[in-house]
Amino acid sequence: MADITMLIEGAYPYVSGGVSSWVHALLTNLPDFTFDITHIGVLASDHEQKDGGRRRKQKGKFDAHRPMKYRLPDNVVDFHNCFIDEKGKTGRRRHTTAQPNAWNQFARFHEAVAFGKPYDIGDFAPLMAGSGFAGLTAKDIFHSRQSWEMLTAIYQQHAAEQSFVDFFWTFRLTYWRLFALLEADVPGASIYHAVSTGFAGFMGALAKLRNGGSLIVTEHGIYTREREIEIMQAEWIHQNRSHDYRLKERLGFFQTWWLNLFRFMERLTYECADAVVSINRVNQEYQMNPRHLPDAHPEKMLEKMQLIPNGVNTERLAQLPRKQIDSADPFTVGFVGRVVSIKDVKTFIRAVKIAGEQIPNLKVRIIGPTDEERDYFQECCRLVEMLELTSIVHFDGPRDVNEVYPQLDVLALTSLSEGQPLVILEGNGAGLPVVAADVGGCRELLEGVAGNAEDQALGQSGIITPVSSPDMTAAALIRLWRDPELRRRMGDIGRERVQRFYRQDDLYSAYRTLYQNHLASAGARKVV
Amino acid sequence: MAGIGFLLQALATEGSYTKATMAYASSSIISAGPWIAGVAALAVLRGVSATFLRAADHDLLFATLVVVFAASLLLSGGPQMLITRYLADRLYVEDTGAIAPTALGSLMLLLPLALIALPFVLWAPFDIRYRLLTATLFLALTMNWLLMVFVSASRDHWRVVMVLCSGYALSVALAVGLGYPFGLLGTLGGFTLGQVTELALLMFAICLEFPSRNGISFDYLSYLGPYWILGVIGLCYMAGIWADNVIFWFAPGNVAVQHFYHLFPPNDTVKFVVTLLTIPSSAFFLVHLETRFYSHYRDFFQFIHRKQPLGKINEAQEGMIAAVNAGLIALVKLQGLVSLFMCVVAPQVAGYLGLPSQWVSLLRVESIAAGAQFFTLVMLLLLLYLDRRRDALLVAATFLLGNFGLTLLTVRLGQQFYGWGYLVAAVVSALLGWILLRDRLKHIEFNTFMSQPL
Repeated sequence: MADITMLIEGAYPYVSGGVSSWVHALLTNLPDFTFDITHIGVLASDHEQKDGGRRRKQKGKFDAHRPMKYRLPDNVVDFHNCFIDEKGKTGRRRHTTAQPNAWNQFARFHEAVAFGKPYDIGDFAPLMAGSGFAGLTAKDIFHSRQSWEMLTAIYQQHAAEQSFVDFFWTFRLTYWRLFALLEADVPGASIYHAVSTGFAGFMGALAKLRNGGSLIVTEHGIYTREREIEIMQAEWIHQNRSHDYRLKERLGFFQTWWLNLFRFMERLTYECADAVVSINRVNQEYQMNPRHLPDAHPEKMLEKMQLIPNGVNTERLAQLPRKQIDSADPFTVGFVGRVVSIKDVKTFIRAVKIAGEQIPNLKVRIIGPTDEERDYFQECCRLVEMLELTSIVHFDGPRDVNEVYPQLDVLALTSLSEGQPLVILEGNGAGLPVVAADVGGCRELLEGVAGNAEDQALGQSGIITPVSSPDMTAAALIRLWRDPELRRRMGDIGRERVQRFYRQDDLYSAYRTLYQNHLASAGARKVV
Repeated sequence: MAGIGFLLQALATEGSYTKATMAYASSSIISAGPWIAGVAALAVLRGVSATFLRAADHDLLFATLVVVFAASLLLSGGPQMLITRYLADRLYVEDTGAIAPTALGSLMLLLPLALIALPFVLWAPFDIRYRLLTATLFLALTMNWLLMVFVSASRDHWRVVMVLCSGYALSVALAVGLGYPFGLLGTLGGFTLGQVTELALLMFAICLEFPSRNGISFDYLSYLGPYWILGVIGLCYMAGIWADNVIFWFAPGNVAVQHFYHLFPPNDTVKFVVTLLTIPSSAFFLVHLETRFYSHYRDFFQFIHRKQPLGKINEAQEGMIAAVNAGLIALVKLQGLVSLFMCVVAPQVAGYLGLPSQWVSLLRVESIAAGAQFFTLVMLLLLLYLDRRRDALLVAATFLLGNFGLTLLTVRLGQQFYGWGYLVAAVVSALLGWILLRDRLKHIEFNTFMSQPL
């Protein structure tokens, strides 16, 4: 049995990016602990190379056929996959007998999950102690007459005017996913470390309820907030067309349902967690905000909360050469990140269009994988063509950033949501000024953490712009282009800040202590 | 923040609800219509030809016609069901271009049918011309019954009735016209010529009504895999209709015409007559019950697709149930009146048909049985509307096995029980169908939604 089971949703080791880099660095730099990685994905086929349309049976273990973006370090002793949308799972469940009153309990569970009804964790914990829910299996939920009767009763009570076919499929999809986890075999461990709330957090909470052990949650961004953005943008969620424009800003019935599901999992995760780690103050404030966490107990949360910022290899970054201020090369702006919608690359491209009218020798490099949301990448390419930027904007694909940073003048970031972006830490660490949208921990990184006088006294290591604002992003780029001295000064400040507050070693030692404490308490529990 | 993102996928928000839709809209007339029209035509020919044919020839001709009718109905039952389903699905996607090529493609079935007829052509103890004419009639009749599926795709019931009536009128006219100068061969030849002409006209009409760029299509054969059970249902039902006839053909008191055709004239005659009794009910079913049921049935699936609340879907379900209940009550009354009337006038009818008075009770029993058999058919069709293929198979198989087993039993029990096997089998299968249909309609929402695969 591994010391720590790490629960990761839709990231490491299949998807590269900030969180994955963070996980990989943590694993690599804590070789004295053993890890079991459980990756939660949507469909197995999302992680498979095309093999003539046939799906390979996933065995869970190290699977050479799936393209992993990272090589698992040696202290990862086990690897599991859990695909929550994978078909063909019902029926293989071991036989269980439903507890008496199971359907009433499930109806209450559903009201908490889908309609945000207040609940007490103590009520549901025993019902989820075994596989399934109160002895109900996925098969019961999806095909039994009792389930039909329950769900039509719920429909009549809560949604009598809504599209029934959408109600039905939303119900199915919700529990298809929850039961994938409720019926999954959770590996035993002393510590469960979920790298987000959501499904990973839910699985961590289940594991703790069933196997004991400690649950640690690290939130990089705010998972539920990001889902909220997705839900608002999702076109597939049915909404009754309303002619009342006052309602326009409100979420539709099914959008609210989805959001409630994520809020439910978030709350369950927080309540079950022994430690809730955030990487920046902004997120910590969100986690504490009762508006986001109705019925949670702020005082209990406070005891669990901990701040462990991201860290970068400051020594290595400090050695990187900086581009000469008086360089005759084009003024080069770098965008380092995956080309996906949450990064809002389009806003950046539009900003480039505006800035390009002022900056004659502008060059833009977009560095990062483009294969994650192919449609989005295509749209970005089309936008570049439409704005006649093909000679300025280059999609470089993934590159070794250590070679890229020395060639840049400015680093830009226009994401819709961020935690504590590693790129900013790296860019600043490499002596680059950064232009970043005012999301997540970006402002903290560029202007200093509020309340930390020493940090704030350092000054600004970049320019914060409003979210989704091509104009302001362009204005910031132009300002930096006009003022080489400002670029140099901001770069210096960035290096200094990263050296002082965002050292990788601090991150590792903080987690080492956290793990050790919980392993010790697990050991103590075992002895007793 | 990096890659922790689930793309919330809309899996199938729409399942495969439509598969069942529209499927059997036209099948009822195909199953009952031609058969009734054929029986009527034979009745007329029987009366007229007696005036110019020698008695022995007359017996041989009608033995031949009865067996050919039976064999062709039996063999067309399965393919009819399959092709109906195929066409209904094509029409659902508004692919009317598929109709004519499929009709031409269905001619391929002549090949296996010819193989079936081959032993008769080779070894039957008749004039070779008579054998060839008989085989031709068998092929033409079978194809005609199949082609009715295509004609009725226009859902123009009147046209179907007109085509049927004119086809048989032509056959009877040619049989009489050629039979008068040329005797037995002329009568059979005329009748056959009429059917072959009808086949050509039908094919022509189909190609004219549904013009298509494609020449010929065998795509319907692909339905053999998933829908083979429909073929079995069609075969079972048709075999069920003929099971008692066949058993009586070999029962004591049978007649061996020319030492070849075994017949049991009382039962054969009675069966023909009582089949005609379901004409009013068939018309009522087509014009009234099926139409009303279908409109609610269509609403049911459209409401689901158009994202209506459950209340609306419930209304459509209740509409279906009400349409079935009201329709069945009206049918029971109508068919009951017709059958009762037949029971009352049975002695007179028997006398007119030349049946000995000992068979009057057989006529009474079978006139009720024919009504019950019609209800079995209605249940089959409605169950197939709901895509309850296994239920339909259960009903059809019950009818077949019941008629077969119980008729065997009545043959042992004695003459006063003749016909009761058919009656009990038809009543039991109709009741079984009704019980199944009621249950399926009651739980149609549960079944429609909860049986959707994930």
